[in-house]
Amino acid sequence: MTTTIEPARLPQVPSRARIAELQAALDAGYTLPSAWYMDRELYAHECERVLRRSWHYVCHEAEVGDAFAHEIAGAAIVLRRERDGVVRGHSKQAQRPIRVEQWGPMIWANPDPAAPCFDDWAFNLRALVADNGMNLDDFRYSYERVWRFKANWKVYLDNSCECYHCPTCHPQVNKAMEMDVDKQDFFAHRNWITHVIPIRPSAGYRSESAGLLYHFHWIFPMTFLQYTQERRGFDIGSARPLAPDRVELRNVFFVRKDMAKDEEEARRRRQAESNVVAEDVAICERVQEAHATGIAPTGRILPSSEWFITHFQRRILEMMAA
Amino acid sequence: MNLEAVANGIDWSRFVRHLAPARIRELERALRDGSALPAHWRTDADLFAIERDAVLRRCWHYAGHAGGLSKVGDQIVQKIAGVPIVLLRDERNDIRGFVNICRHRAHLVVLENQSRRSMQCIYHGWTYGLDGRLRAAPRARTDPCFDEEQFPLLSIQVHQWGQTLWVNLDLAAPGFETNPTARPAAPLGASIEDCRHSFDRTWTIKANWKLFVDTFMERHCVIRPRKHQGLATWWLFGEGHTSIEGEQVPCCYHWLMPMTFIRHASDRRGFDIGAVRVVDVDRIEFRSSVFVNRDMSAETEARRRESCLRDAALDADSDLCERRQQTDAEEGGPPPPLSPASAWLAARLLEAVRQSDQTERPHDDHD
Repeated sequence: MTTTIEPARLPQVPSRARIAELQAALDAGYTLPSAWYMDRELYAHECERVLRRSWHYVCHEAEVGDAFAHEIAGAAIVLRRERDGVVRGHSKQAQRPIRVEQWGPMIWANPDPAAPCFDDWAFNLRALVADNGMNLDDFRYSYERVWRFKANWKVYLDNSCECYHCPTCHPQVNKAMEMDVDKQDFFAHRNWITHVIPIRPSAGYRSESAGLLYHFHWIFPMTFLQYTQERRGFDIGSARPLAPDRVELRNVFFVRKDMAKDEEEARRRRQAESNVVAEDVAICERVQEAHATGIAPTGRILPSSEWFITHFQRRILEMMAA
Repeated sequence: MNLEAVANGIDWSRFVRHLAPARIRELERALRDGSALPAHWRTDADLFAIERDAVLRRCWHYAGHAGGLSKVGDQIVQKIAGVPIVLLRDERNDIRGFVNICRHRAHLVVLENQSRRSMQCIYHGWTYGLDGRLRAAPRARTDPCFDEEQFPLLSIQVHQWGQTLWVNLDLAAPGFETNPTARPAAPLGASIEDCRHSFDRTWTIKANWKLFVDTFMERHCVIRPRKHQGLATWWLFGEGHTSIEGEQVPCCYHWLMPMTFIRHASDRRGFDIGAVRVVDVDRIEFRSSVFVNRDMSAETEARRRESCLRDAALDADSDLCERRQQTDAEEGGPPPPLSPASAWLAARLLEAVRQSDQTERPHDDHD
């Protein structure tokens, strides 16, 4: 028999005054407090106010048939390709239409019917990607890898939106890419950031792109998109929270529609040599272990190297306060 | 912001704020009537988290022997009540302890035992000296407002007694020597200072820590209450018998509440420490550390060790605890009278509740 313990109190949304305090702390170089990375109530509020009101990658175009069921932070949704060829979706719980958009071979959705369209959310990003020579309509799905690990979704977000950790955690990246920040480019919009890094002539695991530029975009809250100027493929990492301390990452690879099987196979073999995701997963799980103690001090970042974290944590607070 | 202020800034009493009024009434009733705590105190993960955070992290725990920290820079990592810590020998040859969590973005700083003159977090390369101070953070110079001095590792209390090491995560807790009842002498046995570490044995047991401590006390020792020792005491005295080279000899127990005992046998040739580590609500690790007189011959030590390894008493304790835990989980368990570990825990939790009522803070997402 399992004893049921009644909840000690009802969930409370952080007050406006508290949010203002946390915003001031972010401005001073601190992160959100450790409790925000493990607390069940805060997580429930984040799901409701942030994650279920944001745009997420759902699946690739070939996956959608009569009914593709998916779940985003507790919102059950169903996508369906209709007779006119357009993919539409609805929320299972509320039985109302939700916003769905296609970008190249990718299907994105926002469970909030009142959400802005994708191009308002990720303002100008499609144009930027196209300017980089990546017309995503020219690509098709190749394969994907799924990782489930023990970390809060923001632990993974914090980890993946900065490359301050690359020299110490990712030997392959350190070897293949220019780690001098003065030679890298960073820019951000409200809901996305971009990081451009030159690939060294002796590029190691990214040998196919030696001497070219690497582009990394993070689309708030949970998706990265990366490619190099070689322009033969791109991949996305779409993270999905499963619990306050658990996340699922789908790393989905796309290639040029006309790519021959042997080239695709060779790319896949080369990509399998990368340890980057496994290294990040191990890092995130150790950080979560520290948060789970309940006594981890609030983090202090170096704004010049990690301002993307502050940028996105501000967005989280904004949406929590809305 | 200095080191002490940072660590003392942990408001431990906040952890009992999630304790429901009905649970508080159960604690009060148990202490008033001498009745056992209901079974959910041994099976509910949320209650366990409250105990661990509000009480166990403010107690003294055995943390091993000083042999692994013989030279400057030696570092040992372990977990105390779920908190990762690092113990080390610093530049001044003192043994010190820190919470093993980086002040930058909460990664574990030291991943395994090592010997180095610094501690470097692999996440971003932030490097701390053996005094816990942040010595260097890559690219820190690009942020003129950043002051390394403000981000030392959190300090913990460490006490060395002979070759034994003791830690308390709470810097504000009474020192090891200044507990409400000072540390005990060993009327029957060898002195702690005269012994060296011999060997360890460990067991993983699927039972709640209180169930194990109470079962162990029930089977092996009779607690002798001393005058003026209420539930506020940290040391409980007990007597019993233990097996030494196959013979039952009288011994005395000093329990450092809540989960550690020092056992002296009347043969005065050494002592052993039994220490519980909590892993989960229904899982503990029990470590028995045996110390022997410095001048004991290798032959005698080997004989004692061999007979000790053959001793199955603890295996039997472990089996019994696991059966009782299972009964608790399935049937709600029998209602035995309130046992010492549970009574002690109830008293400490109620203290924390009172303290929390006095220091109510406005925010729940403590920082």
